Amino acid sequence: MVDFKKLYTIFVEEAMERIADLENGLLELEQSPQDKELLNTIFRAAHTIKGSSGTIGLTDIARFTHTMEEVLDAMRHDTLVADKEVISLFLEATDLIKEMVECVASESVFDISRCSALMTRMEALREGGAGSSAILPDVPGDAAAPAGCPAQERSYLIKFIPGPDLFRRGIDPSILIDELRGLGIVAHIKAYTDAVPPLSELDPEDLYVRWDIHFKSSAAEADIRKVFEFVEEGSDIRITPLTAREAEFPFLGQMLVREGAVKPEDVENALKSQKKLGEILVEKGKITPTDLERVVEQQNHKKTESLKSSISSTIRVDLRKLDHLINIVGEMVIIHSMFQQALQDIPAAGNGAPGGNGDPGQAGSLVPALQELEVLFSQLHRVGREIQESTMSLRMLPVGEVFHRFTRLVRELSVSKNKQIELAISGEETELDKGVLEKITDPLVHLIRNAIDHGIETPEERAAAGKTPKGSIHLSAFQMGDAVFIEVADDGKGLSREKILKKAHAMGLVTDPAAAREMTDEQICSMIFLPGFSTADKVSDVSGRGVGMDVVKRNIEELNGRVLIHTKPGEGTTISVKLPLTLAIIDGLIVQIGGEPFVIPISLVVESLRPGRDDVKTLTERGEVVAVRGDYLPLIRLDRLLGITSRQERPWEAIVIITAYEGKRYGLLVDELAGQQQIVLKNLGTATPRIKDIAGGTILGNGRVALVLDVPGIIEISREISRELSRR
Amino acid sequence: MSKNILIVDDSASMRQLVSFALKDAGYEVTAAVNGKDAVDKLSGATIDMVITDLNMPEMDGIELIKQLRAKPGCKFTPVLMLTTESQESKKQEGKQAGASGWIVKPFTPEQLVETVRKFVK
Repeated sequence: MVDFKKLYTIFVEEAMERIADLENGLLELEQSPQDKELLNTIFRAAHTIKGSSGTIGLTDIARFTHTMEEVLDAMRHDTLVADKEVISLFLEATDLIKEMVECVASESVFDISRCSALMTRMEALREGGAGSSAILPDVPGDAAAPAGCPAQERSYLIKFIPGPDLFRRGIDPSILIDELRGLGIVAHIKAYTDAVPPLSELDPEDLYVRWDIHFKSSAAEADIRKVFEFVEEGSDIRITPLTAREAEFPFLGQMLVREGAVKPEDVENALKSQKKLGEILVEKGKITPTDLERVVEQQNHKKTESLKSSISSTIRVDLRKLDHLINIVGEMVIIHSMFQQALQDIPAAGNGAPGGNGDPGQAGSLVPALQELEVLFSQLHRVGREIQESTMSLRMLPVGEVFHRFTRLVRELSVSKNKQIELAISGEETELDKGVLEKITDPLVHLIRNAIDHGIETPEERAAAGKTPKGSIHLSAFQMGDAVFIEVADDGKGLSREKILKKAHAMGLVTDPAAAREMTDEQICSMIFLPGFSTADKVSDVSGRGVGMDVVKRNIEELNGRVLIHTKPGEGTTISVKLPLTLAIIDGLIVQIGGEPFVIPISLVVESLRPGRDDVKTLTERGEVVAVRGDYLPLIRLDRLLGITSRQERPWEAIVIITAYEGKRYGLLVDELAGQQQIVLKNLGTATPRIKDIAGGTILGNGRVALVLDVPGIIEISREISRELSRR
Repeated sequence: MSKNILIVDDSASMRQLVSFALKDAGYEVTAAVNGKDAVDKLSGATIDMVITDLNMPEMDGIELIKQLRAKPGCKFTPVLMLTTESQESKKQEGKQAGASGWIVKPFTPEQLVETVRKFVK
């Protein structure tokens, strides 16, 4: 009996990788449509998915990918060119495959009828491309959608090109269109009069007009076709099912261009005068602007979700890394047996020495034996380190994996925002711990969306500002020391100091104009990270970069990372995210509180000091503070927060560790410093509820268990406490 | 005002069947027993649609369609032919002559009305 579940797991994992290949390949192909090697890669990806899905009996996926493969094959044989529409079609198909695979993974049912429209279009492409005829094939509805599938409303493009003698045959085309209305909704109808000849050549009894009808119906395609049964001869009737996305007008235009019905300029002009579906609905009072915004937000959210879900819980390891690890482990085994041998040799070497009747030189042979042990020990130490490093490197993945997913995001968002944006990527080979990589995706989506939304101007605005119409976003990663920097740089309009200040003023954050003038650019920029900074008024806020920036910052800080902003009005904004290489091993400062060891990540420590007796004060409004070079910092007594009794009640006999959070400094009171070492951060396990002030645990060099403090969490707790106090 | 349909058939039972179905659907019906009778009945009356059998004495359906298309008042009048499956060549002939559509015998009243609605409201 074959274990299908296991097979499915393997299939899903592999398919997800191939889907990523497909997607990335397609996006690259759009840039270089002539790249044969790229086309081969895409073809192989589709081929692999088809093969493996077919093997384990996932016939729907196999059938779908087979169609895809056939079109790709036509492209390989130059009978079809990968233009923008073709790429869009394939990207849509890729999305569908992904959904199908996700359904396999979650053991849920995929509604296969959703594939039929795309299948039809792909088949049409292939046939059109093969040079046989550009006419879309007649696909009876029941052949494309399997029988028994529930009647669903679908969209169709009906091209009705009547024969000129229709009137003379006693047929009124308007009645046919009326009859369509009996079967569904005629959402949009366009009459083309370009074939009407000049008056001198016009035969009033001839019919020169043709129609494009955007039709929505749950009727079977055959029934729709039946409406035209008496005009089929002598007329040209093409019924093409549309996907939901195409059903919106812009795509309709694209289809028309592809079929040669209209010129691209016509669509372009039509689009200029045309509003988005959502806007039309708002105008007609069918939905409120808030509804529209919410739906758009949901749509964007869905995109983010799909980006997130694409990182699997397994990891694929570079074979060289694994080989290296196996080599060192082998080395360790050898040293281990040498160690054992050397230990066995010691009693022999020392034999007789206590008795004193042996060779006096024998006692001295203990020394070389110990020396040998020492050498072996240092070898073991070296190997141990290497194993540590090598094992860590297994968790490291190139950021390119995440970066390339953004190509799609940028492509789609720039279309929907009517902006021209080029995404440049560099440093994609930079490696980051898988855990960090997973958590960085979300904040990066946010930053990129912000850059597109608010940073980069429309082509018109750019032209007016003397810039190239096409904006650019540069996504880069590089390693510096033990940190990785990820930067999102745009060449947009930059952050405006005045607008942020105005906003801060409106929110009551800055009340003193004089103080506002003195604020540095950095201080001002950091205000966009404050919770709610822009959500209060995000639609009208022009600079509006603060959408969810507090969340971005919070996420990065959970990774012990930092966010920095550089901006120049009119020239663009760069947001740098500094991240630790890995989450698993951190440099920790070990402190003692009430006889217990605790670890504070060194990355969060600004300095540590013993305050003078006069430096510690209790202010009525702010509670206990410590003066550090003229500034009063809130003093957080960790012992009280953690519920233990400190041995040093008096701060001037203890140590204050200064940390910075959200641009403010805080003093953490501990009994004493106990050292510094690399620690392996362990989760406390699922049995323990997540505690806000503890990030995890670790085992110290002396074998003791120590808790690792979550400094941002601690600061937030103490803020809450002081807010409580001030309310009383 | 309801539409007036001229039904042309030499079989009385067929004329009756079609009349019933159409009247039921709200149409006015005028009956003719063959092409010649039909042409007579067309002069002076307002006919919105013609449904004709093909095989009839005196003037068959094809000839009727040809004459209709030649008459200024009937140039654009929808004309349906009543055919059987085996009359494929006749059907082609009728179409060439300018028939608008056809109904294949045997048919149900619903099918008939459904088809008629494609031509007159």
